[in-house]
Amino acid sequence: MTTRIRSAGALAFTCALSWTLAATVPASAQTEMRAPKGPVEITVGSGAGGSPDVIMRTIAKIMNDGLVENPIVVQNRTGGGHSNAYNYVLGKKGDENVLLTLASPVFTTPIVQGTPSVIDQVTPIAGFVQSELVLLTNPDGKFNTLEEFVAAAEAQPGRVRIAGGASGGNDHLATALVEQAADIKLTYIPHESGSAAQATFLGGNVEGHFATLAEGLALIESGKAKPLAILSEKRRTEPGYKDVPTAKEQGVDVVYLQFWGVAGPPGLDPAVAAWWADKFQKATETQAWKDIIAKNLQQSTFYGLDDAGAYFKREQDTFRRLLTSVGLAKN
Amino acid sequence: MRFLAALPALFMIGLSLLVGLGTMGLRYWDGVTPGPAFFPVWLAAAGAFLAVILLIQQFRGHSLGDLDFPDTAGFLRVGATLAAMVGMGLISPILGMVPAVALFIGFMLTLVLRQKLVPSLLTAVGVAVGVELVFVRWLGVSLPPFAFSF
Amino acid sequence: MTILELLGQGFATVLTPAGLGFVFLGVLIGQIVGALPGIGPAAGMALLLPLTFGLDPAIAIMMLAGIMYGGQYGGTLTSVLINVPGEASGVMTAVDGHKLARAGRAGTALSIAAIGSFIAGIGAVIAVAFITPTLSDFALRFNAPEYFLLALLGVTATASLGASPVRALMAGVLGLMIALVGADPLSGAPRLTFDQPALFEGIDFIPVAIGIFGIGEVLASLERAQAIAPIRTRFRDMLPKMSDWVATRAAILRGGIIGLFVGIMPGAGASVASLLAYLTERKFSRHPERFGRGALDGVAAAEAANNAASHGAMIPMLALGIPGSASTAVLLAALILHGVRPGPMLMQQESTLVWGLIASMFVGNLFLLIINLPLAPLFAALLRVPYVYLAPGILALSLVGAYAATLDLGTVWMCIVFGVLGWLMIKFDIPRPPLVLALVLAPMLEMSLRQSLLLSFGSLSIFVERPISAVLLMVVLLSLALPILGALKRSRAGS
Repeated sequence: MTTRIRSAGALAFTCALSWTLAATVPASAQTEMRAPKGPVEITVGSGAGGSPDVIMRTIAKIMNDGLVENPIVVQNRTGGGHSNAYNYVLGKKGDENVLLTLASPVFTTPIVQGTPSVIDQVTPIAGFVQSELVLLTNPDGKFNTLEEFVAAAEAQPGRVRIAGGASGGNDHLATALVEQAADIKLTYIPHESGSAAQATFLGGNVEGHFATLAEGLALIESGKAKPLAILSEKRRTEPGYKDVPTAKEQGVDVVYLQFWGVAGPPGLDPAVAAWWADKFQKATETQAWKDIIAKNLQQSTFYGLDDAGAYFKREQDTFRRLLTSVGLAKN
Repeated sequence: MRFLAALPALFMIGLSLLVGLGTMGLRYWDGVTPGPAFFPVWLAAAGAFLAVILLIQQFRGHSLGDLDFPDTAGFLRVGATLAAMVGMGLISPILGMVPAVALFIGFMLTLVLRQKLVPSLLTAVGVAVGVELVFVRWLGVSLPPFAFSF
Repeated sequence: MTILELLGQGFATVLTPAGLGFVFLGVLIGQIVGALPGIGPAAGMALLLPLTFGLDPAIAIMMLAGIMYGGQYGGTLTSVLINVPGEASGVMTAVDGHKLARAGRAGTALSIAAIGSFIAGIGAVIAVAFITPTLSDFALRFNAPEYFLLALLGVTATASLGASPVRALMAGVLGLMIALVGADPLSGAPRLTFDQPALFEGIDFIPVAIGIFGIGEVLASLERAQAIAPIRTRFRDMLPKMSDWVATRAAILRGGIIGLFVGIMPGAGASVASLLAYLTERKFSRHPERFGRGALDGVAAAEAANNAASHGAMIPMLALGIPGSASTAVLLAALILHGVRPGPMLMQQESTLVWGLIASMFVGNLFLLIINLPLAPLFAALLRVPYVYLAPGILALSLVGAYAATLDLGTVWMCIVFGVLGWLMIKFDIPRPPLVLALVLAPMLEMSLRQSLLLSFGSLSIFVERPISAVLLMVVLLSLALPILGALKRSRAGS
């Protein structure tokens, strides 16, 4: 996720810089590499079918198709806002047969619960998938642009409603960013899951809903939703989205990227971490992976090892700031 | 026996107090909707109310419930079973869950339920092998393995 | 193309050796996985998902769907035989099913459950095939206000799940209190977590159900280990008689219809469906006093409803890409992993896959009926194993199943704690089903009330302005008023 509010231009510059760096220097160049022995478990904190689960199963499948000989098993250790998963991995110091899936709850749960940061303890390996969000409204509703949406919220604070996933989740934070950037007050209605929120939106009960681009495209194409803005740096080039302006173009300076990555347990041998970073990078370079990314309208900017560490720390700071602003942060 | 019959109601009153006190710091109303304390407050009230009704009914001699307590030997057997389950949980991370299942069943059948040795041990091994085959081999669930390597 | 042509095309995909083979494999796996405590159809599908990677996407989805509804049939086994519902939708089956098993009629209960599930399943698949767009539009008209009233109806109805309404309601309130533990779903504020990170996401349904029903039950039975005779099962009691079928066919029909309608709503699910079907059936029954003591029509209604609901959950999934249950969520993930993008366009873009899937559900349900009918007496004969040998096995499997559900030992401890609670509830004569059902309904009750008021900016009129909500409100008020009026009339007549 990359987030900016009007004043944070410098941060975006460093972000962009590290993107190019990460993309040109292979993560494997600096360190020697060593393969772990035996089967490897990728721990996922979400249930089967959640985005992190789908991403990890996809990449595990690609890696086991010739890149990695160790059998990779994806295990769902659900519960506690991913804390069952990360506590399991945190307890496996130096273990070479377990990896942790990084998704936003791994960052936000410790902040919300007031427990020590996870990302400061684990061994970062790679960040490799990002997904943009699109703000949707009802096809027969009164809004056609984000400007009209914002104007309505300005005229009647709190009367424009957004249905989204759990409190403190991505949709909630994106809503908070839009509120801050446009200086408006929206009513955010949390749901037990993203799909429950989508049902509320499709039933015509609210004015706005955030969706990933792939979900959004299906709704737009079938005429069940109208896009207002993409929360990204620049427009997408795909036919379905090339006419959808960014929020920035419409005067609301918000960029929000969901992201997923992978880390090893604390104290993982740097050589093994480097080996994994190399394998993940190679996996993201395969045609199979590129096809899936294209199909899901995601991005696959690769951050390896130290770059990943710095990237994750920046995101953690952003999460902390946003959670503090919505009154959920404990530390 | 009267006091024993009143235990569920007393427990409920205690629990209602706990729920009420445990959520005291939270907001009752939050903008236009009920806040995080709304449901706990009403639940605590409902719990206490129901408990009092039950107590009144019982004081009048109704609704004492169909209390049915075992003899000492029965209590001991239940206690031993609980201890064995806790034991199984404790040794699972050390010996592995599958051996723990075998030990649990062996212990239960031979010592707690006083069955013949050979069929008991066969059952213990059989169930453990079944758990290994179904959960570990087939479904690929990573049950706690044996913690020491040689 | 007409629907019949599309369906014909679907059958052409299924009626191949590979299609039939994998559908059969799917329902067989579902049957087995559903019978394991802790591992319901959703978890079973997730665990076996990687095995489908090499397959053609249509075949893979058919097989996974087979696990989903096969799991509903399999869950019946443990509910009836050992009173351990593998998931929430089996609770109502256990209430009367296990009583029947105790009376030596396990075979009958299982057979009627299988027949009920089959008829309701086939009916639901016909609805999926022919009226999915209409039903999915209807499902979308159901939102927070309607869910709140539905949950309220369910919670108040638990009062009738026991000999004494006060005791039943107390158990229900206890269930609602257990559900309070964890982060408040709307504001994220921790409630009753006592600073334990493990409690932050709340107490999961699985360890509570396994503990309260399974372990509690076994503990109570073990008090008199020597005295327990194996449940006597005579062969002629094992197969349903014509009179059983006549007595339950209306229940199956009503249960199936209720199940279908509740199942298509993304926020409700099979557990609410089976509860409502059971309660409706008791209203219709000529012998309501038998409910809770071993009513075959109660089992039939609950089973028909949960199978119809699990098929009905396919409707919002296929038409809108919104999963109606945990299992359909896994099915959606499987679609994505096989490179198929779900969403409102799915039925047009992937018509071969969708119609293959629908056709496979006809075939799969038939397979399940064929598997279950002859095997019901066989499974029932399992009860001939001396109970002392069965009991430790049930306990061990319950704990392993609880662990497998989350891969966390904390769940095992939770299971034991709730086992003790379940045992105490038996000893103090507090009915257990209201607790478990209230636990399932609680998040829906609280979340949807607060969502409703957010949607209406704080105005209660939202509950009367929406037509479906207004009707439900009437039903809730009547269900509250009728017993009170009845009690008043009785007391006046008595005095």
